[in-house]
Order: sequence, then C-alpha cells, then structure tokens
Amino acid sequence: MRQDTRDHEPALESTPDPTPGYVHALDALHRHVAQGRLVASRSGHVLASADAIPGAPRGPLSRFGLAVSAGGSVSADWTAQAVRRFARGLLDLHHELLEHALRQVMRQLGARTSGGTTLLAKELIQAQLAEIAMRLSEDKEMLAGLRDADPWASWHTHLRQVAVGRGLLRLSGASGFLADGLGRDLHLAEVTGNVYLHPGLTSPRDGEER
Amino acid sequence: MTGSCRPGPLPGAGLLDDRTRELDGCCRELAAGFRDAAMALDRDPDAIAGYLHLPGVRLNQFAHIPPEYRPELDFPPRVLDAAATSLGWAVLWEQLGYGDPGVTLAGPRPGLFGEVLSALTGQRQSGHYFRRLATAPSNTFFALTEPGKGSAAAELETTLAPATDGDGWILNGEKCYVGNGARAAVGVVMCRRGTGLFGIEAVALESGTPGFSAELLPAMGLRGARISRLRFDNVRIPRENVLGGQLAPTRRGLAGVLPVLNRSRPPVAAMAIGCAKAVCDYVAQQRPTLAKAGRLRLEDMLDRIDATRRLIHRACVAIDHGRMDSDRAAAVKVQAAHIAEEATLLAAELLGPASLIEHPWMEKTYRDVRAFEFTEGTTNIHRLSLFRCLRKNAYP
Repeated sequence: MRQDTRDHEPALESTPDPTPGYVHALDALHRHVAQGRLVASRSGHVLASADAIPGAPRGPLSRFGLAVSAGGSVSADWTAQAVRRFARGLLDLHHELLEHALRQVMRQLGARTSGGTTLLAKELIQAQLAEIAMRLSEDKEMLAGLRDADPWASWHTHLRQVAVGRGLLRLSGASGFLADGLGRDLHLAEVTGNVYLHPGLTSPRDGEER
Repeated sequence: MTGSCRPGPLPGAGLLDDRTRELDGCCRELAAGFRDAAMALDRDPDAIAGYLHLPGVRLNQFAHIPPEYRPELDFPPRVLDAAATSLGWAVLWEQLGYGDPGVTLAGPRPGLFGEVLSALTGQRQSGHYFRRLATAPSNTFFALTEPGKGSAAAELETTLAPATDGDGWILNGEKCYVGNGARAAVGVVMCRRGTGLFGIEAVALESGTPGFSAELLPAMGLRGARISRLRFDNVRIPRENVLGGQLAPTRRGLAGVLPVLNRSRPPVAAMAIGCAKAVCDYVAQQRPTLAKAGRLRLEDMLDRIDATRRLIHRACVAIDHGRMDSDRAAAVKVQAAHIAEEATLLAAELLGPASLIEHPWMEKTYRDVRAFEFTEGTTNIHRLSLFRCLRKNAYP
C-alpha cells in the first residue's frame, strides 16, 4: 500500500500484494487498520477471508474465497476513523489491482495472435490500453487529492475504478470470465466497494436522494 | 418477480406478428419458473437435471427441432413454429433470459449443433441427430474458439487429417470456452483440413469417442453455460461425420457456418436485454419509492433496452426474409451486451449499500451478464466489422 502523507493517520506499512488474490490483501488491510480486528461496513457487513471469519455461512461469494458476516459492529470510539482509513485502503488496493491487471492483460494480448501478429500489436487494442493507462494515471493522482474527502468522493472514485476494470476485462475476452484469475479479483473489489464504499442513497452534499 | 412489473406486450415489439405475440405471452409465464432454478445452478450447474420438467426448459429444448421429429407437446403448434424463426428465437430468449440465462443455456437443446446440421446436411443426416435429440434429450456443443486465438475463427489450428489406414479422418487439437462441451452427448468441431478459409471443415463428434476429453472451466458466472475446454488426441472421425461433404467448399465448413453464427447473435442480444430488463424491474420492485434522480436513470435504461429490442427484432426480421446483414446482427449483440452490463451496475448502485450481498440474485446476474461481452464474438471484433460497414455508408 502506498505511503500516506495527507494527515496524521498512520501510513500503511506494507503493500498487500494483489497477486496471491484480492482476499489476502483485504485481510491484510483489516489487520492494519483495525489492529487485528475486522472492520464492519455501515450496513454491518464484514468481508474477509474464510480464515478471518471462521463462522461465516457459505454464500455465493465463498466460491471466490470471500466470506461475509452480517450484523457486525465495532466500538464507537474508533469506528469512524477506522472506516475512513479502511475506505482509503480499499481504493488503494483496487488501484493496485488495476495496475497489476493492466500488466497481466498486456502479457495476455502479447501472447495471442491474429492475422499474423499479436493482438498487442493492433492499433485498436493499443488505443484502448493507452486510454486505460491514462485513467489509471488520473486515479493515482487523486490519491493525494480529494477522492476520499467524503463518502461520495470515495464512491465516485470506486465507480471510476470499476469502469477501468471493466475495460480491462473486455480486453481479456473470455479468459477474464474465469474464476481463477483477474475476473475473480476484480469482481471481489467491486463487491467490497459496494459494501464498504457505497455512501447510501441520500447525498450529504445537497440532500437529494439518488 | 411479479407480473405487475411486466405489464402488456414488449415495448418496442411492433414487428411481432400474432403468433410471435402469442409466443411472447407464453414465454413470459414460463420464465417465471426459472428464478428458483437460477440460484441452484449458480451453486451447481449440473442441478439443471432437477429442472428439466420446467415448461420453459422444454419449450427451449424442442423449439429448434423440426416438427417432423418432435414428440407431442403441450405447446400450441403455432407457438412452436413461431419460436423456430429468428424473430421467435429472439423473443423466446429474451423472455427466458429474463427468467434466467443460465437455466436457458443449461437445458438440453440442439443449439448451434442443430443449426449447423440444418445448414450443412441433408435430411437423412440431420434427421438422424434431430430424432435422437427429440427422443433422448441431451446437451450439444459447438467448438470453434481455440486457446491463443480468441475470435480469429479463420485462423484455427485444430487439424483434420486423413487416417493412415484410409478409414475416415483423424482430429487433433484443442478448443476452449465451449458452452456445454463437457456435458454434451454430441457436438460439432470446426477444424482445418487444408489451407485458407475453405480448408476449414465442420465435423460431428460423439462425446464418447476415444481420444476426446473435456473439462469444465471455472466460470465467474452464467454457470449453466458450463463453458469447457476440449482436447482431441488422435480422435477418429468417420467419413460421414464431416458435415456438408456433398456441398462445394464455398458452402460448407466455416463458410457454411458463418450464416449460422450471424443468425445466432440477435437471440444472444435478446437474452442480454432480457437480463437488463429483469434487473430494472427488480430495482423498481425493491425500491418503489425511488427518488427522482434514480428513477430517471432507470427510465433512461429502460428506454435504451426498448430501442435495442427494436433493433434486434429488425435484424431478425431481415434474417427471416433471407436478408442476412451480419454487421447489424453483430452490432445488436455488442449494444445489448453493454446495456446488460450497465443495467446491473446501475441496479447495484440504486439498490443501495451492500446490495450485492443482500440481493444474491442481483449479485449472480451482475456476474452472469459479463459473459455476453465475449459470447458470439468480442466487442472489438464486431467493432471492426461495423467500421467496414460504416465506411461503405451502410450503417447506421
């Protein structure tokens, strides 16, 4: 996880590596932010590995290694701060996953051929990859900006990250639909954002319901 | 899902004739039974075995078997006849997709194998298979995509070589992302006998043939499709299993199959917008007091679905009248796939925090619809062909 220089909150010391799987990195984020405990979302859900939530019931996401417990709560003294740091960590994690995915997709496209050349050599593909790289660059710059100033900013950052991930999955073709790789980790990042980053349906900025 | 979410005939369905409207009404009722099966299949796609009695599964099973081979069924003959047209196929798959796309694809049916038989073989050969599929329902497969090649169909490398003992042919190679490949009794394999487009043949292959192996691939969603990897290790192909042997090379093999692929795209598009409509209706049902901003976004999505449906139907009517416009058929598939994906993203947002946990059906559909992106060719492949059409001033 990248160094946080924005405020007095402690920087995340180690970078969870998304390559062994998003869920492992999510567990590491819980450990870092909540000092060995698990962070619950505003809806009361906790998402982590089955090892981290041993009593969690099996559900549709168990197949992808993600356990879900409901009705969770944490002590009020650190909830707000932990949730905010956790939200920032989730956005960092999603960003790193996308950077990893971009490299992986480029490798895949470099190994696939059509018309006597690799897919990576096709201008159509190159332009799409360049677009994704630009959007990732923009996302990275926002790390030092306002992207998680409030829950709505975090949510909109998450939605932009989801759009980048979907672009990468389209470039992956059917291989991005397999549950043992990129498609799985990006789906879990989307679900985790839906649980922890969704700000609710009333905007604090203008009071207007969605 | 309640009937109240789906009042009246399909919006934008102005091209439907009376019998296709009847089919639409029939399918609408039948699809309602798919929702329970949907979640079971997401856990275990082979659970379809417990749902083969569902009328929607049976209609989908027999709709594309020619009438002379069908057993006596409970469906009105005119409904079955309507379902056999391109327009009817789209109506059928939109409504069944509304119920669940996985259940639609998991059930036994001739599928593209049947379409290839109809396109390439005479009545004797196709009759043999259709009679069998009617009396002993089973899944079938259509194997085209290869590892490392993606949608570059004309560059496939699976080989078909003459057997050294002179008895038929020998098939070697590998296919991937083949729907129902590991669960089918029989299917068609596209393979190379010579160079170029006209060197590609279509062969029928029984699943029990020595040297043929298949495994399920772990899919993120649409598990009922049971996408599979197939391997062919010196598989002997009887001479009569080379389909369309009586036809000129320009009308068999890949050249003969391309119209089949083009015809199959609008129904896939229809299934995608069926899913999109289903999630929109789900949101409306779950959040009846959706505020104005959300309501407007949902209504915009429904408008796009209706417009895409009209394009799909127009493409189908053209096909039914013998005017194959492959670019328009591809375009509707691309548009519908995008709309389905966007609809699920919107629904997850409008349903609120943790909606992908609290609404398991929504989470499943959110995963399922991503498959439409690469089914029947990826967006990029279709974009390129669409551009060629645009350059000829033939689109939109």
